[in-house]
Amino acid sequence: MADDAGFAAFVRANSGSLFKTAYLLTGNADRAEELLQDTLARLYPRWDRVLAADTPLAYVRRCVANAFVNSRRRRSTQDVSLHCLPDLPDEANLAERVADRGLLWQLLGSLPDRQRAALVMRYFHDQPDAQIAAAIGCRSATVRSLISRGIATMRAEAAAAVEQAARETSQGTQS
Amino acid sequence: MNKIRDFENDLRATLADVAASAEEPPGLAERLVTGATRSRTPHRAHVWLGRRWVPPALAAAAVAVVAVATVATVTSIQADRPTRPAHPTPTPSATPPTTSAAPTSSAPATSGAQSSAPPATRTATDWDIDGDGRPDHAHVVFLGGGGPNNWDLVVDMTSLGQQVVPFTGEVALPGSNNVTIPGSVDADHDGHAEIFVMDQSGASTQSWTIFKLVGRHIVHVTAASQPVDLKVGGSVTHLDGFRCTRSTLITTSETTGPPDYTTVSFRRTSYAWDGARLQQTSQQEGTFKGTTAAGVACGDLPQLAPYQPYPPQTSTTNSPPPAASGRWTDSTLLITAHSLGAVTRGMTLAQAKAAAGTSLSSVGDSIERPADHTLTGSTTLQFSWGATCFDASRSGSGPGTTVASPAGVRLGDPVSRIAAAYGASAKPFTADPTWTGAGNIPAGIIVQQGDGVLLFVGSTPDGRGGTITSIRGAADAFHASSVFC
Repeated sequence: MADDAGFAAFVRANSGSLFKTAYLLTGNADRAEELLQDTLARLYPRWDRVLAADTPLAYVRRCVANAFVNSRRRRSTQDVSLHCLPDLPDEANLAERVADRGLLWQLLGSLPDRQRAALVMRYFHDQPDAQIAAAIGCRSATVRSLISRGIATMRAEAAAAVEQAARETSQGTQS
Repeated sequence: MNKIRDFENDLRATLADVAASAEEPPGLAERLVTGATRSRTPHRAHVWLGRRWVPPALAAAAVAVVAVATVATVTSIQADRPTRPAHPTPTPSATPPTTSAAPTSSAPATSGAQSSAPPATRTATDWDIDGDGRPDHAHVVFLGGGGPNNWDLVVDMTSLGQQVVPFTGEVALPGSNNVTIPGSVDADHDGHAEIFVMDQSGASTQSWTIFKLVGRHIVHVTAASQPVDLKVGGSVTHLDGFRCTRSTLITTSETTGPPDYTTVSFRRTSYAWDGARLQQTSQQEGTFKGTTAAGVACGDLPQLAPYQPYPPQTSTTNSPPPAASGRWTDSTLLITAHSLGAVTRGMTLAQAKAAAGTSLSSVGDSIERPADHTLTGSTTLQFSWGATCFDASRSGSGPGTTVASPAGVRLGDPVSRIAAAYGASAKPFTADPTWTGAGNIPAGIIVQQGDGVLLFVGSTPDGRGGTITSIRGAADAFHASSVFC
């Protein structure tokens, strides 16, 4: 039987932190809230198990990541990406364009869910491989692979975006 | 040219920036607590189920959806204005309903208006409007004229009797898609299924509204003090829909346009449930690259309300089908991507026989059918060994078991009903031309359903016209179109 008061107190104390994690995973506020709702509803009946964890917040956070990977894997309806890629030719300074964190954020959103989850857990929460592996349901070696491939993909996409922008800017100048 | 220095640090900083700007929505914690403690039953049951094994309990729950399938199609429309039951001066929003002391014919003799609605402790099944665990029924009645309050919503509840709520809808006309009820699902997880009514239908977009039980009365749900108006559907340049989460309802409107139709502007509005009111909590606007994808994602509600012709349908009953067991001896069965009646994907043959409630026999190619081939009349029910694919087919015009999809599309229906029920998610399906083996590989119309597909086969050679002669449910298109299905 869940401890309602304890559960409510935990949620009130940590909803902001959990929301940020969910937001980084899903890319928008509505989906983040939905993800948290699903995760907490799933955990509530066995809240004792959560409290028994060394760090309940970390445990719940891992469950959020796990729910994200699994729910998106099974989702029946198509989601829209809310990551808006600005029109590249409009960018005047290409170096700044690359550095634009909006681009990185957009590229992160284009990654497969497990890669994205692994990157968020590593670069936002500084989780070690084993913790990430537990969160997304894979081996530690797979986590390293996911992170490596995710970074490589983002770098390649960023480079391609810059090159395309350079070409289009050049064409615009010539005409 | 590319001066990406310390990409990982940039990524770390990006995540920190985004997280810092992701402000917690007002009231989030309370919604999370309420959502988790109010309903322990997951909204989307399949989330909790393994891909290869679906517990029989789900089958029982899924069977209840048959009520949706059938009830949504028995809306009655009366051209002549009937005697309106007495109710207070019409007020579009939150009008107190009339309550009949007499229970409906389907209600137990002991039930009536004086009964209390059972306490809501878990998510209600579809059409369980009063939350007593039994399916209820609702239909709409056209009173004539252009309104206001030219329609009545008549709700027959097993524990609370009949209640009538007036509302305004478009005039019933021949050739129009008339006011109808696309479904009833527990959208807010309060233990009572809400009733969704399509009250207007344009060329491409429908307007839906919601009624729900609050206390002991059915009331019209409002937003900003007006009856809630949900836009559903669209065309090439716009698409609308809504989504239900545990404690919120989120509407999405998307528009796109030339030259390439790849930049989509969207507006997403979130509402929190507050009794019979939807309180707006946030709104997002922006653009994204891609194609419009808004739709209805709220329990088993269809993408569009099914076509409701005029004059009234000749249904002889306003009652839902009897609570079905899912046995293949029932007169009505539900077919999904992973079940046919109570037989679900991954069952062993022994389990399937027990679930079907009848002996089965192999007809070759690992296909199992009821041993008594007269059991289902002109309908043939079968599944492949290992229950990886389910098939319900109709041959001849004699009576046979009624088989319906969760959206209410039935064997024998016109193929056009598929698009009406599933909208843009219904895709043409072409048979594999490279197949050289025995048997016919059907073409038709395929609909993605969660972790599987439903394949509808029409009576025309391309499978996309005429009437529906076969409905197949499987994990994927390959299995659905397999000769071994």
